[in-house]
Amino acid sequence: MMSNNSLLHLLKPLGLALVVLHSVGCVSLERLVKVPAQPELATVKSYNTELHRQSIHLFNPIPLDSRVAHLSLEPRVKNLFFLVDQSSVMSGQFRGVETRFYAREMVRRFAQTMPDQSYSGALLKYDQQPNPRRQELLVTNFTADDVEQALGSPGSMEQIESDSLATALDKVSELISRVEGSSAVILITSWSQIDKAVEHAVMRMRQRSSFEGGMGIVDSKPESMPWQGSRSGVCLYTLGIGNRLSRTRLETVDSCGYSVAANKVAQPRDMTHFVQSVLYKGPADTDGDGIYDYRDRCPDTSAGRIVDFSGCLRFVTSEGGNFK
Amino acid sequence: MIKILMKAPVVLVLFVTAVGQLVVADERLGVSTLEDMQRRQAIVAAQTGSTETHQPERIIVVKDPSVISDDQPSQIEQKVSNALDPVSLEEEIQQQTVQSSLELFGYEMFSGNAATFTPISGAPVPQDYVIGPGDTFTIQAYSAADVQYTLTVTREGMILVPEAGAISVSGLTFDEAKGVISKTIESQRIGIKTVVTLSELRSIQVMLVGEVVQPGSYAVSGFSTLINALISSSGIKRTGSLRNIQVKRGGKVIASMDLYKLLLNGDDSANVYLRQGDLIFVPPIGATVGIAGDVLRPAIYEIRQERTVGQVLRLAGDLLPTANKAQAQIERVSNAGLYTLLQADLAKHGKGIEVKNGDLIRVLPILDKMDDVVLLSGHVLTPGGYQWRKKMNIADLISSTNILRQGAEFDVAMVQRENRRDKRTEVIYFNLGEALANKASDSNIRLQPRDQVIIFNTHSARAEQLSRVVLKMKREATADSPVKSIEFKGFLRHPGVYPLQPGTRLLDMINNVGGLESGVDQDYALLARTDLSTDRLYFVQISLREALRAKNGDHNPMLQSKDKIYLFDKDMNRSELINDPVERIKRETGFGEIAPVVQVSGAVFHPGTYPMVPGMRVKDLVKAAGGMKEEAYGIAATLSRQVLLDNEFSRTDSLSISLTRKGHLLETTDLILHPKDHLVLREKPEWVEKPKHVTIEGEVIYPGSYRIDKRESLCSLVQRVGGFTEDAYLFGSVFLRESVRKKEQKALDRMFDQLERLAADVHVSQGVEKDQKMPKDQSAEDVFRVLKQLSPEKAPGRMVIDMEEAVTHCDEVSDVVLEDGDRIIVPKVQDEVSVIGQVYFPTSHKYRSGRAALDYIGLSGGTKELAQHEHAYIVQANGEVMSVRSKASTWGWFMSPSNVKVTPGSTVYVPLSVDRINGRESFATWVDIFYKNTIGVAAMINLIK
Repeated sequence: MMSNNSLLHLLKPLGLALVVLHSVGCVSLERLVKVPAQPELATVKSYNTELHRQSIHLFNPIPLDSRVAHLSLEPRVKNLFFLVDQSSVMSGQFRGVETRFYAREMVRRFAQTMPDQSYSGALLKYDQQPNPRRQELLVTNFTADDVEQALGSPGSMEQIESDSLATALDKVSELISRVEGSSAVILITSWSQIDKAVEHAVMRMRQRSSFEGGMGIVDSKPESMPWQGSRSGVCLYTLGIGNRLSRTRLETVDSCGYSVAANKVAQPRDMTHFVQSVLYKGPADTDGDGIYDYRDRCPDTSAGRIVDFSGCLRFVTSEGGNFK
Repeated sequence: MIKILMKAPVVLVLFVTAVGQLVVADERLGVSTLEDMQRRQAIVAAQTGSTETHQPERIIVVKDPSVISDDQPSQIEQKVSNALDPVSLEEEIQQQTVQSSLELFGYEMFSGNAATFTPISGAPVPQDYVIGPGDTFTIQAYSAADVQYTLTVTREGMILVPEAGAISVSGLTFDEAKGVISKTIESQRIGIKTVVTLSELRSIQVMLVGEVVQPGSYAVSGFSTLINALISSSGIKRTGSLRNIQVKRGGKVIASMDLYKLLLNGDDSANVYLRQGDLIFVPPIGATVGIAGDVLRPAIYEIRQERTVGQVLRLAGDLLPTANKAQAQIERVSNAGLYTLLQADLAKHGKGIEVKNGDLIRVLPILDKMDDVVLLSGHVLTPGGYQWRKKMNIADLISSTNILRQGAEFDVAMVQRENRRDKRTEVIYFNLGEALANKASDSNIRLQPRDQVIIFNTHSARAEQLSRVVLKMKREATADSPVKSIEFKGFLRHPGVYPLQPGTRLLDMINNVGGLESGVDQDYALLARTDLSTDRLYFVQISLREALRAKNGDHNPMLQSKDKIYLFDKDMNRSELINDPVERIKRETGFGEIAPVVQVSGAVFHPGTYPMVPGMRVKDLVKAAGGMKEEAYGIAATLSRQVLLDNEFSRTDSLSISLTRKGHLLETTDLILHPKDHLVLREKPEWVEKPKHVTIEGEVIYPGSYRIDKRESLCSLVQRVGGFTEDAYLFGSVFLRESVRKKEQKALDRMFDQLERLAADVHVSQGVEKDQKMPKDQSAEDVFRVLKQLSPEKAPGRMVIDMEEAVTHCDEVSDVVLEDGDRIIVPKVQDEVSVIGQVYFPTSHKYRSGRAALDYIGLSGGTKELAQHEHAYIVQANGEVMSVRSKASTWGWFMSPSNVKVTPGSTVYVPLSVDRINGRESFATWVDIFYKNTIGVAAMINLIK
């Protein structure tokens, strides 16, 4: 296959797009994107060169902005934290793609899909490698473009140097406790990373964000650290890379967030749905009549009235003459 | 004398009058009366001088058979009998028609058969009868010698009396002639007395011309009148006038007869006696006017001096009471030669309208419609029509509660009314009790004519009582005005279809159909409404609680046509009840829509599919499902949602719904549902649906039934029952478990099944040397009979446990986790060993530690000939079974392989050698059967003790 590719690389650069298309056809990898027959639709601009070198997967994002505006979606979280596992566990390949890259790619796709808006939070990677910069983790404001940039040079990503994912999660918890408002944590790792320690770390994170501050944590280590808690709440979403089957080990009833296999949300429309469910609750309903604003033709119904599917009063007659 | 046969009784009477009461016919007997016969006899005797009695001539008036059968009820009778039916407000469609054919009036008078036209001989001669040639006198003279003469008037008009000469009598009346004859004879012959009678009448010749059936010259009796002559000549043609019949004598019209006067007024003044040579002229018919419909005698009348409709009506016997006076019609040929129609109001000026020749007056019947009447029906003692008065109201109609039957519904009654304007049926519900108690109340509604007041009763199906009303309204319905009926379903006293009074709110209507029942789900009711413009169904979720709180609020809406209301209680199957409309909603959902139904399952009272109403939230769905059950897990539920990506690609999301906590990150029960959402409510973890009980009996301190927790063990149970008594024989404890029993039973049943099949197979198979293996005389029936006898007892379900180990160590290895229905029996110490089966003396022996199985068999006399001693086995006291040949005893205290040690309370069984009984091929199976069977028996032995 590679020889085929290298052979084709000798051909005219103009044929590159065709090469890519050809490769899509003959590689039996998962076809995440249906390559359109018209080449002008799959424009070069939407191709990420990095992607081309690594994989033939295409991503044509469906941005959420118009959807948010149309449905007047209500934001769910204020802060957004990505924790991307770049440790040695991720050194393998998944469907012909390096797992580490796959994890970064998920963040990129998320960012491409998410609305053009600034979020506070952090884009963190977890690695056993020593952090060359050793700087303190910071909560910053970032936009989709910032994410794109950071992913472009992996070295510039904030790194959590840790020997286990559980510890890394604890550090994220620490960050969350500093911010105001609710947070979403998107953990991108391999399913095999999720063990008991990670489960406990997630539980800690949840409890920490749901209780008042100032509780101690009992650890196996003798030094127990005072933890700052907040009641802001956290939603943890796990994107597992490994196989199609989603794992629910990190989910408990009555908690926010869920886990899903990364390849299940990799397609544009799936990613859109995922991003929407992470960042937004649902369409707003300001008058509380149970009809979303975007289809509510009578947006100021008084409470307790029976409405129809367009949000207007069902019994107009009782409003007239007889309604005392 | 004219004897006639007549057709119509009217004519008969008339004619008898005309003839002068000559014939008094008794219609029933068909013979003349006695008096009449005697008189005739006398006359005959006078004429003939003999006294012998003549056989009286019967004058039989033969009735035309068609007349006899023609006893159809007259128009009046028909109308009265219709009116005798019970008062009903039902209207039938009336055709604006009258009789289909009309006849000319009066002509049927001549339709009788007048063939027998012999003169009546026995009638008295009218005094004014004019004598003419041909008349025959009988003169009797008596003095010294009686003589009798029969003399005929000569052509010269004289009679020639012997010894008295000719007497001129012609032209005299009978009376005068009698006088002249007597005088002449008596004057000429002194001392003689005479009696003069007329014995035979002369015939006269009359001429009938004009519009008669048979014109010509007729010889009729001298007594004949004009009518006699007309009838005898078969009468007047239909083209002839009845009103201007002329009799001409000597060129002059001496009489002009109007038969109508005779027929209508009985005036026969113009009915003259005919004389010789008279000419009867019937001119053609004059102007005619037909009159049809509701008059006494619909017919075509010839008019003469009648000029107006009123006069014509008088000819026709005037109007019937059912005639519609205001709406008579006159059909007339106009001057232009066309038919026209005049409308005549006979009550006003209509009678004055002039009639013209050829007019047809139609008198239509009045509308067959009861007016000014109100009908009381339903649960009353005196149902029926009542007179309507102005300002009449309910209390006036139902003057006292006495006319209501026992059990009448006071809270609601109904008035069925015909809208006078658009002719539609309307209903008004009212409170009967209030109407009667308080005459000024609104319930005491003003009645209109033709109202029908329906009284309900509290117990019988109300909707059925109203089904006719509903049907009527349904028939009146059009696409523009749909049937004003609504349907109630579910938890009501009287569910069904009811007519709707416009503007009624839900609660009022519920009240009308019997009121809310206690136990109705106040939080969830459904109103299925059909959008009348699009004819699509939609649902409204109603909270009766809210409706009761705010009577004018949204939850107590005005009902409209075709509404269906579903009320629920705690028990009924809701999904089944609303299945139809929900299915309809699904059917009506087109492309680009999602059927607005949501589903709930799990720990709710009524799981199922419910219609999604606008703005429905998770909590509403829980309410719809009757609420959560006690075992529902109250913290979280799962909502599965079908999401369409890009409107086409379906994904299923799973949302966790927090039922108690309110976090802004969590989905709560306020979550707005989407169509096709599916809510699953879980059960509480480790929910004990049914408490578990075990029974412990026998030698324990507190035997009885104990409720156990999950995973409770035998050890803890024994601690709860206070331990064992001194006599307890722990080794012999029997532990019965239902699940084990079922398993055993199943194994046993299956084994028998197989055996049965095997037996059948063996029986039909050829087999090698079959004869040797199976005796020929053994039939299949025998085999099956044996099988039947062998059918196993109920499997005991005994589980072998080590009680002692369990209660002393209480660890995971030795302890037993109890299940529901476990039964533990701790027996007393037993010190006997039973030996049963093929031994000579099956009995029990005292246990001695030194003895083993074979010793006990020996003590029972040893094995019999049929015994299979190598298959003998022991059922130990704890339920373990071991063969005497067992090489590995679980106790490990065996002495020899063939002499297993027994424990106190055990049973030694020596089975029958099956080989000896028959040549069954599979004796091993038989052994198995016996074996299993006896284990059961042996295990139960301990229980019995």
